[in-house]
Amino acid sequence: MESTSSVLYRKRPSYLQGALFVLAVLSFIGFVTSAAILSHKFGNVLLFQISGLIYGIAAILYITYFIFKNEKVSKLATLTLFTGWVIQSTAFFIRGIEAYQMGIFHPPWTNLYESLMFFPWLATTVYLYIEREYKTKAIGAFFVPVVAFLVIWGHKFNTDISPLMPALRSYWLYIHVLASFAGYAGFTVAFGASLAYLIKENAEKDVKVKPIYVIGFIVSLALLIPLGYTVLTGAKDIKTMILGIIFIILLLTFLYFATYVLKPLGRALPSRNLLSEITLKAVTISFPIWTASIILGGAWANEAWGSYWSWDPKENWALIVWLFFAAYIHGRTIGKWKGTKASWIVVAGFIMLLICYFGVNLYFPGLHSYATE
Amino acid sequence: MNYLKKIFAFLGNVKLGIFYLIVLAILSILGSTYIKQGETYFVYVREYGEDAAKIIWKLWLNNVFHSWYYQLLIVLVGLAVIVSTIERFPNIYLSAYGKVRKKLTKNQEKSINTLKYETSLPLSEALNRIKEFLFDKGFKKVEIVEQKDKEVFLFAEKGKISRLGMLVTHIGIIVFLVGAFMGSYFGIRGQIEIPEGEFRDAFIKFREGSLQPSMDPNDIVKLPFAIKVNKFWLDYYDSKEFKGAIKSFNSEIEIWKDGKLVEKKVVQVNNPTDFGGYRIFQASYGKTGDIKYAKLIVVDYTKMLDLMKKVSDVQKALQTEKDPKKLEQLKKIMKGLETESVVLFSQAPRIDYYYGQKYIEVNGTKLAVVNQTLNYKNPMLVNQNVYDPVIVVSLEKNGKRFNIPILADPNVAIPAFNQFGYANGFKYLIMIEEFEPRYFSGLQISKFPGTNLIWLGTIIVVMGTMLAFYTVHRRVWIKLEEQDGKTKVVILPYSQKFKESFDESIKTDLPKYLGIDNQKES
Repeated sequence: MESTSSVLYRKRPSYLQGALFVLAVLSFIGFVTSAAILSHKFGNVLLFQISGLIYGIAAILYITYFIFKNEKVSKLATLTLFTGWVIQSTAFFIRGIEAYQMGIFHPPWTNLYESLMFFPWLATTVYLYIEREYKTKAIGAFFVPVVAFLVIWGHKFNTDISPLMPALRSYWLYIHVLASFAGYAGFTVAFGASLAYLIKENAEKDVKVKPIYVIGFIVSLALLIPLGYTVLTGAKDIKTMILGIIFIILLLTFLYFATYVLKPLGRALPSRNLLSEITLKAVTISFPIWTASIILGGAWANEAWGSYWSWDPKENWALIVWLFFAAYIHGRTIGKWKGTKASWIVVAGFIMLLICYFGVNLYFPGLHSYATE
Repeated sequence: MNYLKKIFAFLGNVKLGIFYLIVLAILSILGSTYIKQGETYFVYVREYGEDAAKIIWKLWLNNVFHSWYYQLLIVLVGLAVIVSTIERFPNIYLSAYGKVRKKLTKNQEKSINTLKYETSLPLSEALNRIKEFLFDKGFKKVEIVEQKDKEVFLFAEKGKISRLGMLVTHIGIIVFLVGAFMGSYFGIRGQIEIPEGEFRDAFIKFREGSLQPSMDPNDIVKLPFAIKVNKFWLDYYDSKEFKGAIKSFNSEIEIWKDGKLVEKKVVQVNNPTDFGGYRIFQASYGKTGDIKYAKLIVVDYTKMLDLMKKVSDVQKALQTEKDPKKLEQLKKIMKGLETESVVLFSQAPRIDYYYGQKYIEVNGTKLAVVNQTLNYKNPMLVNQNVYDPVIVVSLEKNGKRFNIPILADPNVAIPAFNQFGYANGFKYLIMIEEFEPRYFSGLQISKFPGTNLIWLGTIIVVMGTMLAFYTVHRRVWIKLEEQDGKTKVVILPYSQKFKESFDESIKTDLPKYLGIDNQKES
């Protein structure tokens, strides 16, 4: 025994490999960015579209892996997703530079289109981290299709770069919006894990899938699609809001039946404990960020809007989301609600998040109404 | 005493706390729907009908966030936060900072959470590998609790501070709530529109729960100082694609107190100024409908008429003349006349007019300004940048007082002058060549005591939640034992949260460090 001291201190590990990898990715981003800017042959929107396409391919690969459990497909899926992520990252840089060249520079997360690009990008970042940390890819089969859908669907909106309105021209824009989206992304991952938990639970308990569940599943899904379309494209009036409420109830119904009907997927999912912990981790990473985002918004409002808090719809819904996840954290850590109850609180919190993001932008008139297009 | 304890336990109950949070969330939803907050009763009657309006009014749905039940609930949440912290924190503190038995006990060894490995490495090497493993897992130090020839006990701990997270967060919440209630009860917020060059020493409060100025004359708040807007101006983007897009707007304001100028500041969007506990924001702007500045051109009308007559004569001659030589000559004359008329206008004297000016002096004649406006046809169009400016002046000539309109469009200005000015014997045609609109600056004024507590409290909350969630309290008890040239490793991990991933990472990584191929767990 060479050591006589009873306390041992750690040595510095080597970060060389990681640094090389980051360098390679950055130089790729730099290369494509300069190619776009110098050649004027392609712009940010094309790259966003390409990344959406690649996410689509990745989604198919993740689902294929989920069904066939082929290790090669699994590696390819992650690689494809990462490629999409890198291309999307590049597109953000190009969009920023293009705005700068127009003389109206602002960070690329200021309107609905940009946010619909930014949100999936951040969520993918969080997801890739979780995939690495927990070495589980089954969640990807649920998560990546949503990312692909958002990025592709986002191109329905106005993709032009437009100048910022005066109130948005502030350095708070960088941190407040960034923090909000980081929160959105983390809570979305938590939702995915919670839903997977509920499915897994039904699978492990081997509950009987009654015909009524299947019927409910099919009917609610069949109603959700046209109703969702009407709500998302409808006029900003009280009728749309009532339809929106029906849509949310229907969404909950659908998710409820889905946890039964999708029971066979449970076998491919990681253990309940792990899923529950992924939820906790995603929520606890996001919660301080979400809190900070609300406060940063308050600090900004205290410079632009006359007060740190105006009971504006966006503020209220951000608070509602905060309250739901605070309830989850208390239930999960002190109440020891590892299971169903905690999962449903997360699902409800996520629906509040959807309203906070889409609902407020699209329907509730308020101070945050610039984010509509 | 027992009774009190029961109440205490009830108030600090987690389930009750969760119930509060969810109810608070649901009430917040009620205040964030299509029912607009802070409107007057009349508006609800108009929008939803008499009966619905009554319900809205009685249930405070018009002002959920200032309703008695919302405030009560927040007080209850505050109470629950305090009680639960007092109840729970001492135990949490003790379990982290109290005495720990660092040596793995026989009982612990039997725990289902204990992991066991066997490696062919000698004890000293296995010890080194395990140290390395723990360092890589983020433990800063590893203690050798007991060391014998064939047996070593290790203990490592990290992230104790995480346990303080709950206390810190809850303290932050209380500080924040105190600040929020101070702001809610003693805060005032309102707005005032001040035209350029004018003073105001009061503002109109917003209706409670709304961002609209109140109609109640009692809601006019007198300021302990006066604000003067010296100047208002717009900034535009320097962009080819977006010419005329507004980048920002600014007011140069002066603060006057007791008849003295005390401060001069520029307020801009996103850049308010503070004075005497009040915060002054650049919130909006608009046009007053007045002309702030105009550059007037004064043309000698007799000379102009003379010139016009010559021009029309030549034009007539040009139409009838057949001889090409003479035609050429006429054309030359025409060119000369054109030059002359350009000179007449370009060399005509210019005079400046500023808003508030009482007289315009033209070649020794004082013209009294009677009225002026940016658009005499439709004043509402001014906000869409449609202008038809006029300055009406009056003068006395030959014992007769008459008005002359000064206009911008020559097609209207000349006939109008002919009729009102020249006909009355005034010789100078005055027209508006350039002008600038006069703006009013919309300022929001607010005073919120307790704002510093809001920042302090919320920063503490963020720090507390980061402490609680970004650090993890972890302990490991390890026993290494040499047996028949092999080393047995017994390891008991403890993780306050994320237990699953910690266990998992030990299970996957530790065998690699110990050189075990197949994960061998006994």
